[in-house]
This record gives sequence, structure tokens and C-alpha cells, in this order.
Amino acid sequence: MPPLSCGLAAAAVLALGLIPQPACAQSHPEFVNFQGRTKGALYKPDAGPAPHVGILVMHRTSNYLAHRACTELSRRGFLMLCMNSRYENNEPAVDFEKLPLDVKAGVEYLRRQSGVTKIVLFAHSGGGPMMSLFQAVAEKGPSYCKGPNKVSECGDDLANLPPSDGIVFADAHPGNSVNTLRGLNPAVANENNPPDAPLIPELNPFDPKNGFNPNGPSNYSPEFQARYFKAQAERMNRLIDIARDKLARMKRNDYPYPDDDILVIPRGGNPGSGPGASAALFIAQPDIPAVNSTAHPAKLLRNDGTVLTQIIKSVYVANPKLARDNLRFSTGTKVYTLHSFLSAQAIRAKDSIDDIDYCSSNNSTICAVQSISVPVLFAAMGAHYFIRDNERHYDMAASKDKDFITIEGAVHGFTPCTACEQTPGQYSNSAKNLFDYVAKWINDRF
Amino acid sequence: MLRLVLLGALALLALPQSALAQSSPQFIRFQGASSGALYRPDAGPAPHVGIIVMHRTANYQTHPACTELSRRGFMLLCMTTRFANNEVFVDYEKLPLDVKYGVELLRRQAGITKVLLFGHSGGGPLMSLYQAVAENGPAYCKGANKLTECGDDLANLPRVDGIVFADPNPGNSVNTLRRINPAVVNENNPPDAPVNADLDMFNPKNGFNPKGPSSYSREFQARYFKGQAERMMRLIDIAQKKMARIKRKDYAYPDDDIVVIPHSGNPGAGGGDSEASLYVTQPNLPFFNSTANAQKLLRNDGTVVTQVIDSVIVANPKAGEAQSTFRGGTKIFTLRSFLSAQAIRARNSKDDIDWCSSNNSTVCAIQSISVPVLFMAMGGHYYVGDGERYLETARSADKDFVVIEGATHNFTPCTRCERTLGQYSNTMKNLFDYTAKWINARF
Repeated sequence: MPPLSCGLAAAAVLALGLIPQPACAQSHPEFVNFQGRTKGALYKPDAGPAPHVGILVMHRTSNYLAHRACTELSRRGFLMLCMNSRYENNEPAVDFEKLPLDVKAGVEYLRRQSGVTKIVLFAHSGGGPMMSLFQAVAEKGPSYCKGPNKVSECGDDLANLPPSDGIVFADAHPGNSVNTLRGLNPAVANENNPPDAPLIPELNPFDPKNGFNPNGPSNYSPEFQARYFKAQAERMNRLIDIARDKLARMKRNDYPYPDDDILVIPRGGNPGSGPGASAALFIAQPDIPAVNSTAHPAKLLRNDGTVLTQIIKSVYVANPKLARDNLRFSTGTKVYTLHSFLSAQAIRAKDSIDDIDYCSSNNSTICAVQSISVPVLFAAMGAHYFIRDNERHYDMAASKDKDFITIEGAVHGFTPCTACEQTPGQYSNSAKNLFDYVAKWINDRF
Repeated sequence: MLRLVLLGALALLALPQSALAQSSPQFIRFQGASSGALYRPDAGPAPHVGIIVMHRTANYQTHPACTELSRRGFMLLCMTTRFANNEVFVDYEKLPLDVKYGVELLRRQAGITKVLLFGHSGGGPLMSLYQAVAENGPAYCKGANKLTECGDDLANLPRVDGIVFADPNPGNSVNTLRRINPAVVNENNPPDAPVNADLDMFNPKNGFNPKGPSSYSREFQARYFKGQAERMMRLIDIAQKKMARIKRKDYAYPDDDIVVIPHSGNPGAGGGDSEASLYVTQPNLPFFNSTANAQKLLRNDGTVVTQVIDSVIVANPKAGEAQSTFRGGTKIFTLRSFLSAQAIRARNSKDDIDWCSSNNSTVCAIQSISVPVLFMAMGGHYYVGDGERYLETARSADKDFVVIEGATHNFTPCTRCERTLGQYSNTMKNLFDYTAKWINARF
């Protein structure tokens, strides 16, 4: 049977008088309902051969039904299932160890589509820790996400997950837990809400005396940085202690609620899925190489499509507005419950940059990639702050077939960083370059 | 040409998945975070009536109306709003903009000449606010009497041609008022004081029955309804005082703060079977669960009788257990989302409510709507009394009210209300048949 073009299908549909609009699936994706609140949109290529690679796009809480990868990759010949999880738009509701079940539903759905023989996971941002958790558990079983070292554990409902054939990580971060750790403002003196004490001066990231610049890139001394990163870990450990202590009280019926409670983290970043106005030093001071540069020469996909191998520095520009937004409720305050915090946002550390107990959380890309064997591609966006993290993911990944590329001048959402440009249009091809590279990487393997 | 048609027909048969839209709805992306699923009838003539189904926060993209009404010949646009699955950050007065996107999309569909709104549950106050503003302009949702006001971004909303209300609530504000537990003595979280015994609806001394329907005295009821209004007014007062402090830069945040309301119903949309509502533990409170006058009852066999109607809802004595938990019985808002979507002024929660003090108020909005309206109450739930009052209050000249015998709030048969197996088996069919007939008779 020859491949069916969208135009031909439309002619047939119109001729039969059944439906007033053609059913071109890339342009007109099909809505797919899953069990519970989970849902998806299925994008088929409008033209070309029937796809044999199905790709799943999903995030813990963000709406990925119309994620850029859905159209960009279906246009390049793949069958795209773009999903929203059961916790869409709701961080306080998250039970991170349930999310692999939503990925499983998507993988099983794609496997049932006729002609599809390979399944790839597309992990953008917080999709990174989620997709890597899925694959690690699929390959190793639920023992991967259990153990006394875990802040929270999975259940046996994660047994027998169907493994995927590969993962594309697109500016995946090391874990929401790590992001939260690095975004905490350690100058907060206690965990009361609303805050009732002044910030500790020697830890205040927005005090010019400590190196803050309200009009451009800040310049924190190495001593301040070390003090700050250590204090972030201390605040995280304090929050973990508070949450665990309350849960312990619940267990012995010594708490007003039997099940859970609110956990508000002032000056911790926004209440939605992204970091928002977190108090991460490397946002105010982009030239902190431990975060915003590779340690070794690595591949840079330049705007003209060529690839160079060099030490790569993010072209990220400082955002001094953090000073204002970090102190707001709607942009600088995290809202969780005890359970959602421990499950998705907590990790043990002695220092927020390089002394993290990566496997103490199940929301940890860095931990999971060490238990994954299928081919993995790590694509870092060259105008964001996950470059060193992605190099680390690449270094730590157990997969034999692994690749690492940085997309020059791309923001976290893949579009050109116009604020970073020195000449207009300098990074104009970022999204095209990313998806061309991804398509080639997939086609070379599957 | 004939060859092309035949080729096309063959090609269609070869599609890996059928492109039939009722069975395979089309995903629609709107501006921002709202999204939709467009259901077209699998067969029959092209529809000329388009219907929008949406709720403040619940996922209505696979609502039963989507398939049931597209099967009956209508085009259904089933949407989720920008505040999908999250009560905490609702800015209620922005929601009409999401309805507007839907109305505009349906109006652009070939063949569509009429657009209706389907307001189920919390969709009731949402859809009625939309139409009241569309007919009267933003002046409807502004004024000194409002707890929160809309902006001029609600100017020029395109009007719809009619609204089908299916078990709409009188307002989430009213629901919250009627579900909060007035025995809570302060608003600290977690709760740090014993409940007020005189107002404890779960205390057998006050008439509570842990094994069946409760029986509260008239005095307790009056005290309770007044206590609920007082707690609501206290919560409003706390929130407004904090907002005033924020305004004069005398607060730790410059914009908003969390509001946690213990013992008041679940943190999601809906009652969550944890309402501190007397009519849940004592169904025979006729103000809530019965009509005052003879009204139309659509019986399970499809016939309509006119009579005084009692809901067949059965008591839920377990509401108190769920309510004492955090996940099942604690509301989580911010100062703004509480005031915008969940607060209303009242002197008692039963019948002395300042209906127009909230923009989340079906009762207020239907007094400013002129298009045809159908009110359907589910006969196995607790909005039967409210439903009758909508009929009496609505300004529309063309208005109808029917109760679907034995239906739960979600239209399915209330099996635990049945005396004989299958007694209410046709609820879904009856409701949508009636709706389709009502629409076809008018549009």
C-alpha cells in the first residue's frame, strides 16, 4: 500500500461527505485519553512514509501537549505522542514515584500503533529526571528506586515497565531536587510563612556587599560562593528534617492531620514547574564555570550548522530581576506538601554544587543515567545554565552509545536567545539545528 | 472525478486509524495553557450547533457530554482552562477569556450557526459569568459590592445563543461557604485547637448518626448555617486585611500569600465527599434536597411527571473522616484565588447570602442573562433545591427546569440510591436525550 498523503486522505474524506475538515494529523493532532487525568495528543507526519519510530514527550507537571518537539519531529517523520501527566499544572499534588506509570501508558500506546517498532523518550527539562527514572526502573526493576538511602521510595507498582529503545535529553536538568537545592535562598533565617525575620546579611545573594549587581552580572567572591553553596545544602537538609519529623509524628498519631500537610518554602523559586525566581547564584553571575561551562572540550553545534569541539561557555545573560522576584509570593515561593516535597524536590547534600548525594532522590537524572543502557543523546542549550550538568550526565551515563552536543545560542525552550546576541539573528537557527540533529541521531540508530 | 472519489474512498479505508472525530477527537491548542478536544459526529449531517464544555479547573476534555452530544449530532468543543487541575492559582475573572477562545473557534467552523455553552457543576458559575458579561459588559463584574472585580479585558465577549446547565452549583463561593466546618475555632494550620462542640456536626449530641442519616434539630441547623457564614466572613476579613497590608507595603510578601482552610472539603475541584454540609449527612433537608413546588421529573422510563421532587441522595456519614485529613479535607488557595473564586458574603449559608458579592455565582449571573437556558438537576445529588431557585430567578424568557431521576452529580445512575437493581439505569441517556431535544427545538 503506498503511503497516504494528507491531501489524498482529505480528498477521500470530503468526497465521502463525512467530515468537513481533513484529518491531517501533524497539523491536526488527535486527542488521546488515558486512564485518570493523563492525556495526550498524537501527531502523525502529514506526508511521507509511515513512521516506525514513536517518540513520547512528557513532563511531570508542564503542559507538553503542544510542545515544540511534537510538530518539529512529526514533520521530520516520527510519530509523536505528547502527553500531560496526572499532575498537570499542580506541583503540590506530585507523587514522583507514580509518574513512570504515565510514561508506561504512553509507551504501551505507541507500541500498539501499527508500524511502530522503536520507542524513544524525549526528555526536555524536568522530563529528564522523569524519563530517566522510567528507563532506569524499566531496566533494573523497582529495586532501583528503593532503599534506605532514598528520601522517598517507589512501590512495586513500578514492576515490569516496558523499556524504551533510547532517550533524547533536551536541556534536561540534573533533577528537580537539585534545581530546588540550588535555587533555595539560604539567607532565610527560619521556615516560617510568611517570612518573619530579616535575611542573614552574610548569605544574602542580593546584597551588593556580597557581590550582587542590580544592573548586570554579579561578581561573588569564591569565599561567598563556597559559603552560599554550603548554606543552600544546610537549608535543604533542614527542610527535609522538618518534613520527615512531621511525617514521623503522623505515623505515631501525634499530628493534627493523619496524612500530609502544606509545605511553603519562601524565597525558594516559583510555585510552578520551572525555577522561576530562584536564588541560584549562577543566574545572577553567569560566569560561574562550575555550572555554565564544560570542563572539557565538547561538541558545539553552531548556528551555521557546523560542529566544533571546544570548551563551551553558556552565552546566558544575567537576570538581576531575581532580587525582586525572589521576594514575591507568586514568583519566589514554592508551595508543596510534605509528600510532594520529599518525593520530587528534596535531595541530601553537603554543598549544592559538587557535594550532592545524587541517588538520595528518585528525581535525579544523574543517578538514573548510571542505570540505563540504551542509546542516549544529551543536548544542552547553549544559552542556559545546564551545560555542565549535561556534560556530567554524559560522563556518568552507563550507555555505551552516548552523545553530547550543545546548541549554540539556544534558550531552555530551544528558541534563539536574542538577549544574548551580539549581532541580530546570530542564533536564529537554534530550534532547527536542534531538531535536525535529533532526527539524524535517531535515524542513524533506529 | 469519480475515479478520484473511489481512490479517495479506498485510501480512507486504508488509514491506520479512522479519522472519525467523535471517536477520535482533534486536539486543539489555544493561546496560553488552555486546550481543547473537538468532537464531530461520526455520521449524519454536518452540525450547525457547536457546544463548549469547560470547567474552572477540572479536565473536561473527555467529559461525557463530548461523546454523548456529538453522537446526537452536535459539534462539541471540550476544553481545559489555563488553570487546569490547580485551584491554588485561579484568577476567576480571567476565565471568561478561555471561554471566548472556544466560542470564537466554534464560530469559525464551517456550517456552525449557533453556539451554546454546557455548564456542568463548576461550569455553571463559569459559563453564566461569561454570558452575563457578554450581554452586559464588564460593568456586570465590577462594583463596590464585589469581593474581587474583573478588568476591561472582558469587554466585547461574543455572546452565545443559549446555555445548558447540568447540575450547576450556585457558585464555588457558595459551595465553599456551605462546606466549611464552622466548629473550627481559628484559622491556624495545622489546626491547633479542639473543635467547638456546639457547632460540631459530627458529634452525636448534635444529631449526627455515624451509621445512617443524621437528624439535627432546627436550632442546631440555624446555629450551624450562621456559624458557616461567620467563618466565611472571618476568612474574608483575614484575607482582605492581608491584602490591605500588602498594599501599604506592610507585609512580608508584596503580592499574595497562601490560604489554607482546614476541615473544609478537598483541595481539588468538587466536594470530594468531605463536605461539612448538613444536607450531606441529613439528606431530608428540603431546602437543599427537594423542590418547593411541583416540577418536572424525568423518570428512568423516559416519561416526565410534574410533582414535588425529593433527591434520592443517601447520607454520607463518612464525610467527617475525610474532612479531618489534609488531602481530603483541606482547601489550599492564595489570598487572591480565595477572594476571586471561593469567597462570598453571607449572614447564613442557607438563605441569607449576598449572591452578587462574588463573580463566582450562578445565582447572580442568571439574573443578567437573556438567552434560552435549560437547568437540569441530578436527582441523586444535592442541587435539586438550588435548581428550582435558578428557574425562578433566571431572567431569560425561555427557560426550562427538569430533574433527572436517580442521577449522580456526574450523571451516572446512583446505584446506592436504588431500591431495585437498575432502577436508575437510564440517567445518562435520559439527560442527553432531553438536552438534544431541547437544543433541536430551539436552534
